Amino acid sequence: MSGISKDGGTARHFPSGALYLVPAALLALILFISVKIESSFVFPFPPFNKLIFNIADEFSALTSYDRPLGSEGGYRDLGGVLIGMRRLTADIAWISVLQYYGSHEHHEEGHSHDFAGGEYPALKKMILRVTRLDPSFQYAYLYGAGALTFGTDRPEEAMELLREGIFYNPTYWRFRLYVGAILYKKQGQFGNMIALLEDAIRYPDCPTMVKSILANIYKEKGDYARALKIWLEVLDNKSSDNWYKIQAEKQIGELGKKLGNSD
Amino acid sequence: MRKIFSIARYTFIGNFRNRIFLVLVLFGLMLLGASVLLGLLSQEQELRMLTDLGLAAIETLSFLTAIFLMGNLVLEEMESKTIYLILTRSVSRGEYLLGRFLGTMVSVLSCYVIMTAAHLALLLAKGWSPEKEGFLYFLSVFMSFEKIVLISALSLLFSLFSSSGVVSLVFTIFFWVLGHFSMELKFLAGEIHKGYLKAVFKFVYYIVPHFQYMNARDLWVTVADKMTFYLVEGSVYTAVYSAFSLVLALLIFRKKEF
Amino acid sequence: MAEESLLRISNLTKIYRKSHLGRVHETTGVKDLSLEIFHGEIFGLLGLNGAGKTTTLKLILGLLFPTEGEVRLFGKKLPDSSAIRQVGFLPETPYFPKHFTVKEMLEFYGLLSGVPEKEIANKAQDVLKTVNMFQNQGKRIKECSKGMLQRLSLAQALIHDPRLLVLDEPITGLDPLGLAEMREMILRLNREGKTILFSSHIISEVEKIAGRVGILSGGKLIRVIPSQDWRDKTGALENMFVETVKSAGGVEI
Repeated sequence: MSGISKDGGTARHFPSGALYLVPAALLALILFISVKIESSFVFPFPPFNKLIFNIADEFSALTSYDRPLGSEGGYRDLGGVLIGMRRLTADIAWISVLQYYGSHEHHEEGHSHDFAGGEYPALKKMILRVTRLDPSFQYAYLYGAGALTFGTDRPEEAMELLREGIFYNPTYWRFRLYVGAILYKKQGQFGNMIALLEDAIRYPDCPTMVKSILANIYKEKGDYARALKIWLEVLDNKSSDNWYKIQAEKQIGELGKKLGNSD
Repeated sequence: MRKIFSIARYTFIGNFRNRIFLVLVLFGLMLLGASVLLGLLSQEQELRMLTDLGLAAIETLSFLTAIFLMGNLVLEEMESKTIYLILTRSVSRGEYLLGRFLGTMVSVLSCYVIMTAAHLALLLAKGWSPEKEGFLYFLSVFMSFEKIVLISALSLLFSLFSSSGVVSLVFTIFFWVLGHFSMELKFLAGEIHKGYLKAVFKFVYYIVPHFQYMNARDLWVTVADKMTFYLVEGSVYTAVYSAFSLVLALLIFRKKEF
Repeated sequence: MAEESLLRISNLTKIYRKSHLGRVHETTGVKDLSLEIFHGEIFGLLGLNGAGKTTTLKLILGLLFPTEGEVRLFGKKLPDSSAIRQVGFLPETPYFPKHFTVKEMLEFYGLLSGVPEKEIANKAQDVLKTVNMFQNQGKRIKECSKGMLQRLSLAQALIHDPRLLVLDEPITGLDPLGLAEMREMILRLNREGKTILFSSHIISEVEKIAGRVGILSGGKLIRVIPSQDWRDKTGALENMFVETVKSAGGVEI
């Protein structure tokens, strides 16, 4: 209905006053639901100030082409968070970890070590960068714990990682399995450590890296049959990365020869 | 209702003749490229990365499509005066606005469904198992589209409020980002000691759309034990907030003169 | 002959307000306009550019809202959708979305005007034949010439068989053949019982078809002249128009 203004102003085509109540009621409902969300929703991510913003500092001494892919990180990660892509940002950061851990680090003499055979001082921080973005990325914790403990011999860093993993994933009991294995390693109880790792590798979410670590432990102890069995499982597993499959073929060949010689 | 559906159908056909489907081509190419690259880079996390990248791409492309369409939805017809021949008929402004909104949402939904089907096909081909994560996937897809619906309603409101497609776009993107930052706003409100500033942050937190809460794609397993409740609450929130935006848009549109 | 009032405009005023840097600038579109249009007549709104013709038509159609006054159509105070349903509007320049075909647009407009879905296809065909666009119904709007668009514009105004046709400058920009066609069309539609309200500034054509003429100047309806006053008197309407506008001050908005 047209309203006619008598004050000489514009007679606006206003709806009846009742229609203004509708947005008011809807706004009240929005606020009500917001309050409900606030009270019931536990945000499963650490606050944004816990994100690792300064990862690029770890590689500032390297030339740009020596830096791992995606290691610029930092505020780009915040950008990913701001557009609602935490998991994807964590995935990209994870690729960076794999690039880093698989890279050849150069020694001062100008030689590089074997593939994945370096010190990787920034490894823990790089993995924390991933897990602070997505604390439910359990594989990252497991992989990181394995790499830090058995790859770079820094079990304390591995424990820090796992402690944070347990905090954000309290029901994911496999972290505790890895904690146990690390503690046994530190105490020199290799038998108990191996038992826990055997338990860990039974599960499909166990990183192939951990399987390869256990296989190498068996190989060093002289238990070639068990080592061979693990490498055969790695080769058969469709989800194993190609690099590990290549390693598996190589190890199977070596172990096969050793087992043949010992017959 | 018949008029609303007629206008929705007219909008839907217009969008497709305007080549909205090119976004699907872009998506297909992205997905193919990503699957090859990720297979090389991600070791054993290829499926996770394909899932995350695909869902993010679906949402991003749908978001961009929706806000470009919505930002120009009514403004373009006003500028080109094609709106005259609709509003001079026995069509209320509410019917017109709702019809146009619905038609655009159906257009975006069509692209969304096709992209999701393509993504699912790729995941299944790569060995993804729907038994374990199927419902989480569905939840992510569904909630993601609800976010698109909500931001589209806001985009329409901004376009009518500002009468400028560019301004509407800027505001919409700003709200999209702010909505994904909502939990951080709550955190900041908790950290601030100054009373008035704390109140401002809290108020903004309550008012902005809770896109982070609706971001099942990121929350994933953390909502696994309360999926039904989460789905219902998120859907109610979307419906209420979208209705709020559309009613405000209508109140503005009813006063527009041509 | 006109019998009863179909459209009654009472004290209609439209003031445009624009604010710029805190200052409000007011422009009068239409001032205190009162007018009655009767069933079955052809009424021409005559005026210079900016006199308020299009503003008046837009106020009737609901594209603009009055500052003061009211409009009653078929006895109902506007806005009223049942009244508007009986009005067909031909804008000055036809604007159509370019991706649709002629047939699609016509059927769309027909549905919006309340034509039942089961009748729309047949009605569209009939109207397309009437405006001589039947053979072009499959053409996309972007492929149509200006003349075709003008005919489509007329078709969409007729698809729902309205009682009142509102035509905004229907003869502006037409060539002599087009003028003759449009003139004949208007007269034919009137013979079929339609009431026609149109605006124009081309006096020579208005005097050929209008039964009454209202002269607008500066947003005011200065004078209403029945056709008896100019019929068969060469140049009479033009003289009356010029005299009226000059005496009103010929104020342009």
